[in-house]
This record gives sequence, C-alpha cells and structure tokens, in this order.
Amino acid sequence: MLNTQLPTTRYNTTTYPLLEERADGAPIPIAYGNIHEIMPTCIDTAAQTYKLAGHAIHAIDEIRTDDETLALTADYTVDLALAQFSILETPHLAANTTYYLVIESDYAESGTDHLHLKQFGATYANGSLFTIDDSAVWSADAAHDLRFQIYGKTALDGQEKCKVKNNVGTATNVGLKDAAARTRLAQSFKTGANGFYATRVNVWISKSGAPTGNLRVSILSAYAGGEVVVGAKSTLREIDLMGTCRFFFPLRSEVSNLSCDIEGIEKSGAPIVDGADMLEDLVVTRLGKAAAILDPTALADFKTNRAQVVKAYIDRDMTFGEILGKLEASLMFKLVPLHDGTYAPTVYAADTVEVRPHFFDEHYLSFSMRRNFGAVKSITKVRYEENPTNQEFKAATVSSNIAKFVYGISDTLDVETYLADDAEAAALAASYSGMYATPPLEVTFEIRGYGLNLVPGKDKVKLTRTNAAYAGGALSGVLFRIVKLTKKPGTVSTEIVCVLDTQTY
Amino acid sequence: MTFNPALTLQDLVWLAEIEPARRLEAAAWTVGDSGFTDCYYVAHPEGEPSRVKQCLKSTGVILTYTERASLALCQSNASSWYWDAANSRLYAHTSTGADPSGGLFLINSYFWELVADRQVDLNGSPYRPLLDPSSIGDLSFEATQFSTGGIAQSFGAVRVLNDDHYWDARLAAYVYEGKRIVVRFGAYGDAYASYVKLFDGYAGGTTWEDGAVTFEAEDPRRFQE
Repeated sequence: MLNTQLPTTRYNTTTYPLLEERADGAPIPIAYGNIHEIMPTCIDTAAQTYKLAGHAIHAIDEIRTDDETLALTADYTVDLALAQFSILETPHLAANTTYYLVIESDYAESGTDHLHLKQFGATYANGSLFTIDDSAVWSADAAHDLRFQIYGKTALDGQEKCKVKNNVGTATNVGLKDAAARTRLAQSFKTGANGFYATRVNVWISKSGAPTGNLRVSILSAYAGGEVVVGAKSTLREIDLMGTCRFFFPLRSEVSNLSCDIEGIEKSGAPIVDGADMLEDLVVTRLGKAAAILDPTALADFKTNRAQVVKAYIDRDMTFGEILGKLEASLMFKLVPLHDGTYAPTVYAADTVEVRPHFFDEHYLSFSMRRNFGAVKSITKVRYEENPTNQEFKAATVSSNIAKFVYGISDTLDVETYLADDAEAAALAASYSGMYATPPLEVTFEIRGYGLNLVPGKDKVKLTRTNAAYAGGALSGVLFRIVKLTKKPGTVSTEIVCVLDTQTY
Repeated sequence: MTFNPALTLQDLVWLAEIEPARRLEAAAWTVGDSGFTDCYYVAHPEGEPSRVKQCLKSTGVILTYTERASLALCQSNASSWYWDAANSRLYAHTSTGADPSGGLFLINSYFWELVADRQVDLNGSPYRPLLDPSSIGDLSFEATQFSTGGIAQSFGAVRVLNDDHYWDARLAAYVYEGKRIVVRFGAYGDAYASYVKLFDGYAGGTTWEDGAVTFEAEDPRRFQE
C-alpha cells in the first residue's frame, strides 16, 4: 500500500486525442481542499476544454487569464463531475440567419441614473428592436431599430470587416434599465451570404444621470422557449463617457495562461478539508482498499483532534507513503498498523487510563538511556499552502532560544505540509519547535517474552528503575512511548525503544 | 612533553575535561543584600563557574558575563558575575538588572567536570578516576584533495565509568550535549602544563548504561563559539 503510486490515472492521446502536447503521459491530479493558482490541462484544443483533476470536484471558484477573470456561463461552462471546464468559443454566425444582439448592464434600475442607446426609426429591414423586461419577457418594437455595427472575420486569424450594420437615420434614444420594462435591450439582425466569427459590436450610448457599472453584449440564436447564447459573451465594458461603444468578443487564441481556483474532492456535499477525510478518501477511493482497514474509533478520534484545514494538489508521481508522511507531518499523527490488520491514525493523547505495562528493575535484561542530540533543532520552518503552478510554499518559522543558547545548535527543521492556514502553520511550527528544543530522552531495554502485543507509535510503557539518568538518579513510574519494538525468537525476548512521552506526538 | 615513539611504554595518564552547563533561569535566585540589590545570588554547589552566559529571550541576543573580583564591582556593572567562595554562591547582575528568574532570560553557568584514568591532582584540581581510556574511539582528520573541497573530520566517543552512579542524576541536572570536551594525556608525575591535548571539541549525544556513560564527540567547527 505504501509503495502504490498516486495519481493512478494519466493523460494520453487515446482518451484525449486533442490533448495539449506537454501533458501526454502526465498524471491526472488528485485535489483536496481549496486550491488556488492551478494551471489546467487542455484536453481538447479545438473545443478549448480543460481538465483539473481525475475525479469529481466540489466547485470551480474562479478562472483567470492573463488580464481578466472569466465569468461562468458568459465565458465558460463547467462539468464538475469530470473536473472540466470549456472556454466558450468566439461566436460563429451562420450565413443568412437571424440572430439577436442583447445589451445588458449591472447597474440598478433607475429612472434618473441610467443609459440611453441610440435608435433610429424602422430603418433596418432585417430585424427590429426588442425590449426585455425584468421577467425576461421579450417585446418587439417594430417601429425602431438600434444603431449598431457588427464586425467579424471569416477566419479567426483573418481580417476584421463590418458584416452587418444599421447606421443611417435620425437618432432618438431608448432607455436601458430606466424601467422594469427595459431591463435589457435587443436588436435582431440577419447575416449575409457568408458566415463569420463575430469579433466586435458597436452601439451608441449616452448617459442620463450618473449610472455606474459595466455593460456586456451577447449574441443569441433564439429567445422564444429559452434564450440560446452563441459562443462567448463580449468582454465587460465599464460605463464611462460612452459615445461609440465597442464590445469585443474574446478570440480563442487569446485565452492563455489560465489559472484556476477550485474546491477539490467532496464528501457529503462539501469539499474535503480535513486530514481524516483526506486519509479515508486516499485509502478507500484512490487506493481501493476496504474502509474497514481504517480503525473507526481511531479515525473518529483523529477527525476530532486534528481539525486543521488541509489542501493538496497531487499532480506529480508520489507514493502513498510519501503522501502519508507529509500528511502525518502536517497533522502530527501516525498511521499505526495494528495486529489485526487494520490501521489506526493515532494522535497524541494525554495519559488518562492505566492500560499499559509497568516495568520494574527485575524485568530488565538490559537497560540503557540516550539523549538524542541530533534531534535538536534551533529553527523550525513549516512550509504550507503550496502553489501548484510553481511548487512554491509559504513558510511559518519559529526560532528556539533554548536550542540555540543552551545546546549551541543552529540547525533547521524543514517540514513540508499540506496545511492551508497561516495561524495553523504557525501553531504547528511552535509545536515542533518546543518538541525539538531539547534532546529527546530515549530508553532501550530488553525484557523476556514477545512484547505483550505492544504497538510502536501507539502504546506506552511506565518505567521504574532504581538507577537511571533521570532527575534524582532514578525512574519512578515515568511514562514513555514506544517507538520501536524488536521481537527476538532466538532468545525469547523483546527489545523496546521508547521516548519520554512528553517529547513525542 | 614531545611525542617520542621510543617512549610508548611509559606510564601515561589520560584526562578528560568536560564543561557542562547548568540552566539557572528557573533556579531559586535571591536578591542581594542592601547595597547590592542589582545582584541576585543562587547556591552553586558545583563550585566556581568557568563562565556565565545570558540569552535575552525577546531578542535572542547571547552575551557572556564578565567575572568581577568583588560583589561591589558586580553591583556596579551589568552583565557580570561574582563567585562567593565562602558561601558557594553565584551572584549575577543581568544585562537589565532584572531578576534572572523573572522570565526574561535564559542563564547558564558552566563548570568543569574533571576525570582521569586514575586519581590525580593537577593544576590544583582533583580528577575523578572514572575515565576508560581504552574506549576512546578513533579520531581522524582528513583534508580532501579533490575538487569537492573541505576538510573532513570524524570523531569517536569518550566513555566514563559509572559503577558508583556518579553520572545518573548529573545527566539530568546538567546539559552535556554541545558542550566543550578536552582529552589530554601525559606522563604520570608531569605537571599539567606538560600534558598534550589530543582532542579539543564538543560533546554530542550521551548514552547512559549502568556501568558507563558515553559522550559522543562532535566536529568542533559545528559549535565553535
């Protein structure tokens, strides 16, 4: 189990024929928690479809390009079950077809502060003005047409030309969001003999009062029975001096350097953000092991006692053992194998119940003590919140005066974690710093028998000894935690290595 | 003494001198008598300290106190200490004049543990007969001659006898790790000044057994003060 490579799925051109070249053979990531700055993988270069993970995710919170934040529905669609999204294409308008350009704004409806669009009388033969109310009911105004120009290209890398226009007549004004009846305005139009990609729409706008906000244009192929948007909406245009207002549609080739914020694997309708759920998902879902191999009591205890927020974007080959080690370091627990074949995610617990063996002078076949000077660290650096794009971490650093002054140590303990929160990373650094400020006291002793089914990492022993390198020169019922247990069938004895309980986690 | 191969069978005495620290920030400090209230004293049964150092917790700045010849001089000089031999008291005047046990400082006193492979008195000091010279590990010093550069050194360990449990409580009461350890040898009957220094470095981890304690030796460059 520990040597199993994760993630288990990879990008390939059989499954994704139009996969971007750099991704062929790369692992499809596993995502936990709220992850920022993910660079998605394009799995369909024609449809501009991108994939974020190899499993369902809870949400895509934001998608950014170099210069703007994209809007759901307007700029992209999502498929959370596949952890994918598609950037909407530049609207392509077919020949000899009627479409509708719709102008909308985000300022509040106001009789005093709103916009006016220039309109002519019924000067355009192939369409008419529509007003759309706050219930999305369309009403044709056959007596008027907007003043508009629609520019386009027959190919995306071709030359932009004016394809459709209504630009002759005596102008009057029509209000936009001056009343509920005019929540949006639309103008139908008909394309010519050749289809084209719509690249820009021009309309003429003036202000009445001082509206503030943004405007956007979309092109619809139908409105009756549900509005059908063609491709992407235009980029947003801020309300300013107005006049001739140009609304540009994004060209596909302009979408580059995408960056995404997501919420990863979910459990019971919410994203997994704690270590217990992450561990359970890794073992049961990613590795396909039976849920029963995780000791339920220990798992519940782990969930209760380690509520720190974690996040992980596993986008490079790692063994489960490597991931587990990083998670253990993040949350100060150990996944201890028990004698019945199950595993207990064990967290340090204060000594409350007398359930351990207590050894005395007559039990020891041998006995030695050691202060592990090599474990002393002066500076503790906890790395957290990894940026998936550049693999850089934030760092919380704590310095120990005791390690530096009393022991003369300047060594640094560098801990890479899955933690996501500043305060929790600082608290973890403080915990490690306190633990490694002094040399851990280790005892190695040998006893008869096969170790009483003791489990290293989980079980503790109490030691009493007349002579010992301890305060007062003796041990009297001092609690130690077992870190290593060696059973010796040849001598029917067991060697136990344990560490002073207060110096363990 | 100059090393002479012809004299390898002479009666050599081995010495090990270890300078542990006693942590004093939580000791029972008492403010000095009237006129010396900037000084605080603590019982120091280990004898006269070799050094006294302070770390100001708020800044991490470490400084070594200056030994003064009288309590009056200690009173008039911050960051100083005075040894009251008659009462086995260590007086300290901290860098700010504050109580050493007030939580502002870490304070260490240092003293020498002197052991030899037999009972000797050298330089006016008795050496406990606890050193097991046969257990002193190999000490190697190597200069690399290739492009990697650097000087490689490796050190063994110093083992001292513990049959009478002399070290049991001391290993818990004092800090030996990262502290100076000097190994010397000389001919029996020679003056201390004639002894040759074999190793001058720092102790690493310690291992305790019923009959012996082992001080691992560390590369001195790691702890050079």
